[in-house]
Amino acid sequence: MAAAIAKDHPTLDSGPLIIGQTDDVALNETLLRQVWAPPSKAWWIMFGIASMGLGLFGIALYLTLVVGVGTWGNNIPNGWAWDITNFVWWIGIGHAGTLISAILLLFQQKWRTSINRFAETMTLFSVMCAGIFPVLHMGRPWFGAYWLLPYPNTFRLWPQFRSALVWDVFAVSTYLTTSILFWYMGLVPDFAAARESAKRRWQKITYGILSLGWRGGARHWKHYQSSYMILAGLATPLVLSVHSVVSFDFAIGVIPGWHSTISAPFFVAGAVFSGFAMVLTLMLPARKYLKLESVITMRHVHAMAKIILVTSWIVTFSYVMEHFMAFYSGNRVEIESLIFKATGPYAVIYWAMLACNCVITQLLWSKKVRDNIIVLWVICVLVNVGMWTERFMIIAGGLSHDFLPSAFRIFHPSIVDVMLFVGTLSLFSFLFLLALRIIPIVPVFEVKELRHELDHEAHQSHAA
Amino acid sequence: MAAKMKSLVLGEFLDPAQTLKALAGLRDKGFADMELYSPYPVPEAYPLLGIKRSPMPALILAGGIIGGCSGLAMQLWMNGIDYPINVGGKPLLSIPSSIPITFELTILFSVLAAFFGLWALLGLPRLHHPVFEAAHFGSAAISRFWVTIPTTPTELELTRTRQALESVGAERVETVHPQPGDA
Repeated sequence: MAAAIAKDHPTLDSGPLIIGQTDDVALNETLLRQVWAPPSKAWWIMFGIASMGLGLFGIALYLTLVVGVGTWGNNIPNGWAWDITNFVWWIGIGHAGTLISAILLLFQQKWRTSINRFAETMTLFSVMCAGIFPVLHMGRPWFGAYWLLPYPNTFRLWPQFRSALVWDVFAVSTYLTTSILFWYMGLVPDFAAARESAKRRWQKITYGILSLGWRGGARHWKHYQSSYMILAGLATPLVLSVHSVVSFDFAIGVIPGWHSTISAPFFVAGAVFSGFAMVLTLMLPARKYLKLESVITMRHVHAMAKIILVTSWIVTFSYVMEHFMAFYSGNRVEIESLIFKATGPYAVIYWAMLACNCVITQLLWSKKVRDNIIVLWVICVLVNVGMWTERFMIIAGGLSHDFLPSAFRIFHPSIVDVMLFVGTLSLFSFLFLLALRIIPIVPVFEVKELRHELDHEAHQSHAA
Repeated sequence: MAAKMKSLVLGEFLDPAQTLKALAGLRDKGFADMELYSPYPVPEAYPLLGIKRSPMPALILAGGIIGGCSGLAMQLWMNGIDYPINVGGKPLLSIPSSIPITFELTILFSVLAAFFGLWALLGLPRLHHPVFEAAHFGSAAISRFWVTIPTTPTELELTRTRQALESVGAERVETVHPQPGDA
């Protein structure tokens, strides 16, 4: 069907999903090469920088836990500021993984196959980075155990389940658990492939254990696929719920700009937008340096860029509605809050948000831009910057200017704030760089299956 | 018990099309309890191997129902009965405010059922299995398709099975005899 449409409209045919790679042995070799080959110099340099950033993160953690959250720039009314901005930003990025793996799987989008592992891995690490911020924000994180988790304790206290913050704990921890299990389940047959192609004994043993002794029997495949499809089906509403629940943290508050019913879909669209941008930010260099251009082709890149463009428009529409509703409501506080954001001390951040999220993305209409890897990469980085500024504008922009002029106050980040953010970026890079060396970052069995399907299709259309 | 005493005859095939033809041929020759090992799923082979519906959906549904019910009951009991907290005079036993966590726990328990239920059903992790005794079986995880037939370990039967596998186009045929301790 798709092939027939593409034949009638040559402009819609965006190229092959797999280039070359005529047999499974070659494919196996290509996809596992980055696991066996010694790390390149570039990898060591990036790993070194990430490790140094991790050291910075350690210092910031120490200061936060030993001295206290007073080392942060938070004040009253900016009780949530930099830390929750980072939390929402990281969680948002963590949405692309499940979206690509689950939703595109259910829609049978073949182009998801080469990139789903990449996106899932990214999801895992970004959700971990996100979780750090609210936990630290408690000041004494160990109290969180009985504030948040329903376990029988000697105080005979239970969490307050009518609080959106407790909903958040359940949503994020369910999401993290699901992401890990979904990711690992997809990896098991690939670990078996790694076990069989390993050259050294310790590698065989390690991957043998990780593969759980997977044999690839037909009965096993049947149950495996059944379970995997249902997991995808379950992950789909889950991913939509996670950022909706995060948005409830704001939507059920009374702060101007927060108390709005548009929050849930607006947050989810923003999450997909930033998540896809982050996948491309990481994938464009990785596909070049790991020589994966034969399985992550320009068709994949184009498809991702188009999704970024679509979600950019959804985000733009949400901005328009948000502004319109503020004026339409006639509520003086809402209107003043908006004017404060656009003209107050945060104005630069506000206009950067609009420039990055709504204007620059329009370049993606052009095929030339989508073909130009460097320009595309810069756009994706700017989208990530734009989404961070958006989260900041919602949180600090709302809190700094609420109801009482006597309570208006601006937020300035402290050095510990900056170190923590740089620290999570380093943690993320550190884990991701390690993952590139340890796991097959492009799903091996799924790409083999796809190659077989494409061969079959080509054969059939040839025969017809 | 009977399977314990049997040897396994394994045949290697190059691609799914050849394997499917071979499986149909072997089934017509009357071989039973065959298994196919492949680097990626070959759903067309399931009917030939007599594989029926997977019990996974039912298992996952059960997980979801348990998760949803216990999630809702937990919130209502903890906040409404065991330790009632009155916030702004709002109802103690409130369904709407319980929905997000009920939903999340429904998903969580379904996912746990899907993941752990799968491995329990497959009998994994199991790091050793008789098929791994075959010298070239490793290719089943990379590019080749292996059909195994449990056979009574008499010379006559083993030869008959080997010849049958060769006649349907197996590239390579291997035999694995039961070892003490194999389950």
